Amino acid sequence: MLLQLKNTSETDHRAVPDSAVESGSIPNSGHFIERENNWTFYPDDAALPEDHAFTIVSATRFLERAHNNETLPTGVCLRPADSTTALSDYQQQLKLICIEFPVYTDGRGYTHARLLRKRLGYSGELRAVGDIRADQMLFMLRSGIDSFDCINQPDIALLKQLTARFEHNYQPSYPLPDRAIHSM
Amino acid sequence: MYQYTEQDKAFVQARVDEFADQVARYNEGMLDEDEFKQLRLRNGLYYQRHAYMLRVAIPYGVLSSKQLHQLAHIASTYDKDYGHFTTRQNIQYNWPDLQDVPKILQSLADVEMHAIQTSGNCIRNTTTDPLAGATADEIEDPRPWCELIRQWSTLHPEFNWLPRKFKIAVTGSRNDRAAVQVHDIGLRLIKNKDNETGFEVLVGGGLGRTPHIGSVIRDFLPSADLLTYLNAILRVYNQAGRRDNLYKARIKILVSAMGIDAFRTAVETEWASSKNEDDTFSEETINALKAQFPLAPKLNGATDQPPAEIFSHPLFNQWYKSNTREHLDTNRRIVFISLKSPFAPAGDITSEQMHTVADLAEEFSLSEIRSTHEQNLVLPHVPVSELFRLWKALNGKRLATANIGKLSDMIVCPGLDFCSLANAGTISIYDQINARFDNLDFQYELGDISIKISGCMNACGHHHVGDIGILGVEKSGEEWYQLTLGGHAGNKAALGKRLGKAIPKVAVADAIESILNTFIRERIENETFNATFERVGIAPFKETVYATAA
Ligand code: SF4
Repeated sequence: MLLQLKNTSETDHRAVPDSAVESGSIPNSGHFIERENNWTFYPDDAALPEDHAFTIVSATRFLERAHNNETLPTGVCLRPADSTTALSDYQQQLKLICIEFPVYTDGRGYTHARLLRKRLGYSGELRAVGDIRADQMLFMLRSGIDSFDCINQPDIALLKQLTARFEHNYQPSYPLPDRAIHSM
Repeated sequence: MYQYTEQDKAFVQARVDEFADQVARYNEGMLDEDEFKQLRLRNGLYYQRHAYMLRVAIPYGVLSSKQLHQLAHIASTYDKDYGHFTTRQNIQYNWPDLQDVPKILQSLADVEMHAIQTSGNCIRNTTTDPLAGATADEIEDPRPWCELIRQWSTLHPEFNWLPRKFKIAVTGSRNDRAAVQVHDIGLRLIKNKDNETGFEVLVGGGLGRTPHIGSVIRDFLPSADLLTYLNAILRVYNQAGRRDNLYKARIKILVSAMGIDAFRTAVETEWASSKNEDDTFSEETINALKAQFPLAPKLNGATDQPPAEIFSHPLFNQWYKSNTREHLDTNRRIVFISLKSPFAPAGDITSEQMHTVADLAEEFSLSEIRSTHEQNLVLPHVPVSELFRLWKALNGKRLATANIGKLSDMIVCPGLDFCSLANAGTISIYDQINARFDNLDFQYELGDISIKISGCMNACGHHHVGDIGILGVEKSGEEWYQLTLGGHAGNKAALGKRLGKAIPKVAVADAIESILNTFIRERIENETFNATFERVGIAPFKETVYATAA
C-alpha cells in the first residue's frame, strides 16, 4: 500500500488509478490516504511489458531508451547519485517519478525533489520509495514529495501528528503542499 | 539582543514536544536505536563514554543574564553542578539522564534557547566574533546576519541530512576573531568600492584529520543574496559530497577534489537558476533583525583614562592589562572572564560561577554575556568606572585569572575523560602544563601565545591552528602526543608544522619547556611566538626538543 497526500493536485496529469480508494477505515487520517500501488518497477535486466502505462524503470534505463528512440515508460526511479536535470526533456510525459532513499540518512533525495518541482516544473506524482521514516516525512513533503512507498509504513495517525506539529517554519519558500490541510 | 517572536516561541516549543514524543516512542520500542540516535543528535544529545552528553546551542555566542541563570539552574538540577563551554561557543552538560532531557529542553525553551542541530550531519550553530557590536574595528555587526542564518538553517527541509556536519562562521571585523578560514563556509562582511555591504565568501576550510584553509569562492556577494548563495553551496555539496567514507565527507574534501574553480562554477551555475526562488529574504526582514542589536548606549563624562585603582592594586592592574580590551565607547571596556584557572578543566564553569557572571553582567554589562571559541566568557560593555568593583567580585569566585591570550589560556577538547572518540587524555596535559608554568610573570614575558590540545584527529581542540598544537595519539594502548608549531587562526590562517615524532605523556611539559626556551633564545625584543617562528622556522625547536626528550 502507498501513502498519498490527498487533494494536492487535482489539476495535474498524474494517473490516480480508478482503484484508488480512500481508506475509510482509519479515522482522523488527515490528509493522507492509503492507496493500492498499481505501478511496477522493472529492474534493468528484466524484460518490460507491452503496455508501459504503469511501468517504472531506472533513470539510466529510461535515458538509454530515450536515446535509442524506444517507447518510454511513464514512470522513472531516481537513485541518489542520478541527475534530475537529465530528465528535463521528458518530464511532461512522465506520470510518476520515484526518488529512492536506500537509507534514510542519505539526504540527496530532498534536493532531487526540490529540483524536480522547482527547476523542471514537474507537477506529476513524486514518490519517495525505500527507507523512509515517519519523522522525516514532513521535510519530504516540504521538498515536493507527495506519496510514499515505505519499507516500513508508519501509522497514519502518527504521521498526521508529526506533519502537523510545526505551524511555522523558517523557510517560507519550502511550504507544506497545502497549508489549509492542517486546519481540518 | 535577539528576542523571540511568537512564532519562534511556538516553533521551539513544538520542537520540545516533538523530542518528548520521540523519547516516549523510543521507550515504547517504536523507534529503533539507530533512528533514535539520529533524532537525538539533531537535538544535541550524544551518548559518550560514560553517559549522555547534551550540547546546548548558544547562537553566535550571545547570552543574556537570564539565560545564563537558567543554564546554571539546569547544571544544578539535572547535572553535576557544572557546564563546559566548547570551542564552538556552545555549552555542554556531561551527565544528564535521558529521561530528564525533555525537561531540560523545556527549561531552555522557557528562556528562548534550544539544542537544535548542535550535532548530526546538518548545519550547526553559526559562530562569530565574541566582540561583535563592541569593537571599533568592525565594519558591521555580524549578529543580525548570524540570526538570519540561524533561522534559515533551522530544520531546513533540504539540508538536514548532509554528507557530514556543516559549520558556518561570520566576522564583521577587519581582525578575524571567528576563524572564518577554517570553517566549511566563512563569511567576511566587507564594503565594496561603492560602499555597499556584502560578504567575501570562503568555502572548504576546516580542521579535523585533513586540515584545509578555506578558499575564496566569491570576492563580493551583495548582502541581499546571502541566503540564496548559501543555498546554492549547500545544494551542490548535498548532491556531490562523498557519502561512502565518513572521513572524506566534509565539503573541504569535495572542494579540493573538484578544485576551487570547478566548484565555484558548479555553485554559480546552480545559483543562477535558484537565486530568485529559494530562500530569498526581504530587506524588512534583515532590518528588523538589525534593530534587535542596538549599540550599547554611549556613556558621557569621563575620559579614556584607565581606572585609577590600577596604580594601587598590582593584581587588578595585571588583570586590567591582560583581560580587558578597548571598547568602541572609550568609557567602556570589553572584559574577558577566563575559564582557564588551574582549579578546573578548561572551559568548565560551576553553577555558582554562572550565577555570579549572570549577576555581574546584569549589573555591569547591560545583561549581556558572550562565549568565545577560546572557551572563555566576555562581558562586552563594562563602564571603565566599574572595572575595579567587577574585578573584586570576579576574584572572589576564582573568575579573575589574568591570562587571556597567554600560555595558560589553552584550548582543550574534552579528550579521553569524556569523549568516546579520544585517543588520549587532554585534561591531564592541561594540568601538567599549568603545574609547570604556574608563574604568571613568566607568561606575561612570553606575550601572546596559544596552546591548543585535541584528544584525537577530529581536532575539536583546534590544535592545527595553535602556536603550539598538541594532538593525542594512541601507540600500543598508551597515550602519546604529536606536537605542531606555528599554527595560526587569525587574519592569515596557517596550519602548524609537525615538530617530529610523538612524545610520551610524561614528557609533554618538558617538551613545551624546551620549545619556550628556544623561543626566548631566538626571540628579538618583544616578538610574538608566531613572529619568531616565521623568522627562524622549525629547525631550532626540533633540535632542542629531541635533544632533551629523546
Ligand atoms: S578532538 Fe577527538 S577527543 Fe577531542 S573532543 Fe573531538 S573527537 Fe573527542
